[in-house]
Amino acid sequence: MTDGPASPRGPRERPLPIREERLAAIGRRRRAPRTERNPLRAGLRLERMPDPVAIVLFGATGDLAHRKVLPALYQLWRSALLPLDVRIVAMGRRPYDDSTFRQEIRVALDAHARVQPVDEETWRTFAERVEYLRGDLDADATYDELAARLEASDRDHGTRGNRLFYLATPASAFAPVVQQLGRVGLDREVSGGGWRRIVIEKPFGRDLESAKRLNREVAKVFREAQVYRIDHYLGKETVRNLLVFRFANLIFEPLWNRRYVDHVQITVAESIGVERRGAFYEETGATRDILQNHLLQLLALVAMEPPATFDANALRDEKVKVLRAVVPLADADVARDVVRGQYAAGWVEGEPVAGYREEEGVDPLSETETFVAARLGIDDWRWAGVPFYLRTGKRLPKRATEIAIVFREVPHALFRGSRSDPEPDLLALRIQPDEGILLRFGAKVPGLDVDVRAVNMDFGYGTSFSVDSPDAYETLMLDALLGDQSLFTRADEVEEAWRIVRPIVDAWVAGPPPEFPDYAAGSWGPAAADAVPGRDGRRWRRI
Amino acid sequence: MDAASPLLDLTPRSLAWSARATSVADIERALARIWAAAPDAAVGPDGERHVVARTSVLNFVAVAGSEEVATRVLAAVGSLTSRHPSRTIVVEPRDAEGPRRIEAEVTATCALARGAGAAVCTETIRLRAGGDAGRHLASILPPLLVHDLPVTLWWPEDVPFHRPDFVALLMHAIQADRLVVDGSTWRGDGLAGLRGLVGAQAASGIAISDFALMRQSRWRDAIASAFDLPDLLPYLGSIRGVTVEYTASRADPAGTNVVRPLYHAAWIGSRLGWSATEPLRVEPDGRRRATLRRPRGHVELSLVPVASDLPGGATTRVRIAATRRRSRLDVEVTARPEAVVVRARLDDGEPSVRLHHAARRTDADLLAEAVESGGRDPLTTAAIRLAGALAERGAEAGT
Ligand SMILES: NC(=O)c1ccc[n+]([C@@H]2O[C@H](COP(=O)([O-])OP(=O)(O)OC[C@H]3O[C@@H](n4cnc5c(N)ncnc54)[C@H](OP(=O)(O)O)[C@@H]3O)[C@@H](O)[C@H]2O)c1
Repeated sequence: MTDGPASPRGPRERPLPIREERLAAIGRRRRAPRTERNPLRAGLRLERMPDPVAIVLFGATGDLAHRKVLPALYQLWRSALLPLDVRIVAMGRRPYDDSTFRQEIRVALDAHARVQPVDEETWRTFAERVEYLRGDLDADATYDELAARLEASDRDHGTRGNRLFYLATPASAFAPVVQQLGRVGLDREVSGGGWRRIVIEKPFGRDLESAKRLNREVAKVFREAQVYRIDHYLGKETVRNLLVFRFANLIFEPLWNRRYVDHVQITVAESIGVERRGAFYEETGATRDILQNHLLQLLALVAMEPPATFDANALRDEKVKVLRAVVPLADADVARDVVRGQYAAGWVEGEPVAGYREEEGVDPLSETETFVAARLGIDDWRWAGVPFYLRTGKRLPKRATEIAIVFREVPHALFRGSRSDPEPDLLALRIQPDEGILLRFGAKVPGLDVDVRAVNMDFGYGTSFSVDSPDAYETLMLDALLGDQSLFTRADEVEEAWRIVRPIVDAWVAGPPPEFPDYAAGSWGPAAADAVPGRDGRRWRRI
Repeated sequence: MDAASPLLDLTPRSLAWSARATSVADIERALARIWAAAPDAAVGPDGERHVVARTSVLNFVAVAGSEEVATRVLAAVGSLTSRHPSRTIVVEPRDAEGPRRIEAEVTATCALARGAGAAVCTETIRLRAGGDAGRHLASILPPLLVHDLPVTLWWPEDVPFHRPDFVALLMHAIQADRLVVDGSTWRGDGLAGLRGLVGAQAASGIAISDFALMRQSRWRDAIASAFDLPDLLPYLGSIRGVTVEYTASRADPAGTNVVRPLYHAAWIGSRLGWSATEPLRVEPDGRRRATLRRPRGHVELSLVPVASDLPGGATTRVRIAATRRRSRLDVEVTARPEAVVVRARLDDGEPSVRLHHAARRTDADLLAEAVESGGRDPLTTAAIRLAGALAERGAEAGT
């Protein structure tokens, strides 16, 4: 378990005089029992059971709650990873009562639980612990009622003052909810072990200013150590494995720099369109929805320096350093190095599909991008001069998230006589769907000639370990309940990521309208995207 | 020699090839034949092509004393969804007095991934070693292991730690990295097995997974949680007594396996820096007692049999008593179906009570965990070492 820094706004805060610092330290120790000093805890990390807790799920009637959050809670319960004294207070506006809401989740679990079928006995004991609280998030009365419910839960269900607030509401409600929680004092940690934590879904702001504003609003009420900003990519098995892969193996790290790496490509491809979330997507677009968070998080994990410890803050310090080193894009860079696109009707997986502008909830003249590709540079000793090509889009030919490290060519082409063009060595980290790692290198084709051909060495998670790894939401929920912030983004990280994205969005707002749509659904994005690596004499990997 | 050619057996989501063999060389040839005949790609029921890929994770060797155990072992290995041993070898030494013979069934199974992922293939060798061949496993197994992959050895029942061929097998022939056992199945009170285990660990440095210790993880969590409360934490330094109650058969309480109850105390002691001053001795009333030294004082340990019709050797209650500055703390942890209850009480105050969810774990669950844990786990090593010291024979004179 790791505590964040005492300051609410991360490490850039003015230093405290020693007396204040000492008092703050004492205050911190009083607030939360430091369980790591209990010698019986040593070595129990994996077996640790979260404290009794009331989980308050705002937006419990929504899509995310039904598809991800509640199935993750159910699965944790099923694996006996939630304490028996757990209460789930589900909040929404719709007129349910406890029993009708439970029926509703049951339907959701039958559709979305990771392990099917839903186990009746587990379900019964889980459902008993779920209650519904109806109320408008804008109304004071809702929070007074919530405070009363939580007190009752401590009294009747042994939840001991521990609370996890989970914000699965539209982003516009984040700040008001936080303020209200502060108003009724639900943020305050009390002595004797009651902790309070808040999980905030994406999007965290829609630009640098709004992210800063939201951070400020949150910091008025919660300390940074209580705040868990979700980027669910960080809960995925391969992303976590990326750290292990880089820092637990000796053979890759020496190559992990500008001397050996030619360039890096990160792709987050989706084959789906905007589904029924057209209205939401209209305001968001690929840059805000994926580039600002998932792609930049992956970039940070690939490019960061090894942290000194695996402590949440040490890790996040390193990620922030890399994000800060990303070269800011000037207007001219945006025009040259960033390409956006929007899909037209086309065919995906053998089915005809509509164009973006025809989707429900979308403006027929929409200028929202459903695709973005960008070339970024990182100005530090490790990466100076190595381009990072990032791309993401909807309605691409397949769903695939991959990071590829493409190595430089050998300094001297010894096997020039080879009939096939040697391809550079490559290391690909597949994040979904088939999580795994592939190493491509040259080998001699059997025969009397010296013919070099690229061969693949492929490690698949499915072929070695778990076919059935936990869902990212299970991992993250459990971490939040255990107080481990490592896989959550810190306030300054979010702001740095917005700083990188800002000039892109600004240039588009200021520039002429795009010629949309410009790629057919089921293709790899607009033709112009090929020029992003193409200008440097490189090309996108075939995925 | 049975030259049955690889046979294709198409079940909805897996393909299997199998062959029989009657010597070690024959087994190797059978494997080579299977792989030579297996296509590079398999076509699944959905018409999709899957590249055939062999895993390279781990060699898994299990020694089964009987047909029944072998079946159980295969079922557990088969349901290891979370991590596939690349090659599983299940050996059944049988009919020790009979003629020398080797009979093996070699199977390669490829599970088809959903979508177009690779078909993942693993190999299983079920080997019956008759006559004196069963006592020379050290000469049979090494050629059957996949090179350069770690080796896990599972010995599901009583382990012959004292037999020289065990030492030869474990330490030299297959150079196992991990030994998986279940101390609660060892014969008698289990303490001889415990001494053997500690000896094997000391001699070979092998990593150990003991199901008996692994099953107690929720208990450990529950016991630790009592001392998370800042007011109670200091009492850890002044524990005076640990009492563990366990089920014992009415007929033969002294013959009940006490490995599990002993592990509770050994874990606590090893975390708190205790050492054994007087090993366990049996009292006339059937209890076992021992004395340990802690940094500033002594701890009395008792293992108390409680007559029961339930299977013997299961812990029903752990009690910890501590006194400090004239205050007394009692922590009591009891088992309930699916839960562990912790009750902590300071002097005459209100007891604080907490429930811990404890799901039943099957052989397959435990096996998955054992196979997944890499390297030596300090908690296990320390707990087993202290348990071994408490199981020393020195003071059994009291009986
Ligand atoms: N869906 C996803 O795949 C996904 C993925 C990543 C992140 N997220 C983020 O997660 C959050 C939720 O997304 P969603 O797709 O689940 O949205 P949604 O389906 O529209 O659900 C919104 C929820 O908020 C509640 N709500 C809205 N306004 C309210 C008010 N004034 N008072 C009380 N309750 C109110 C709704 O309650 P009623 O229905 O009862 O009115 C509903 O439960 C968003 O911030 C989104 O960006 C979603």
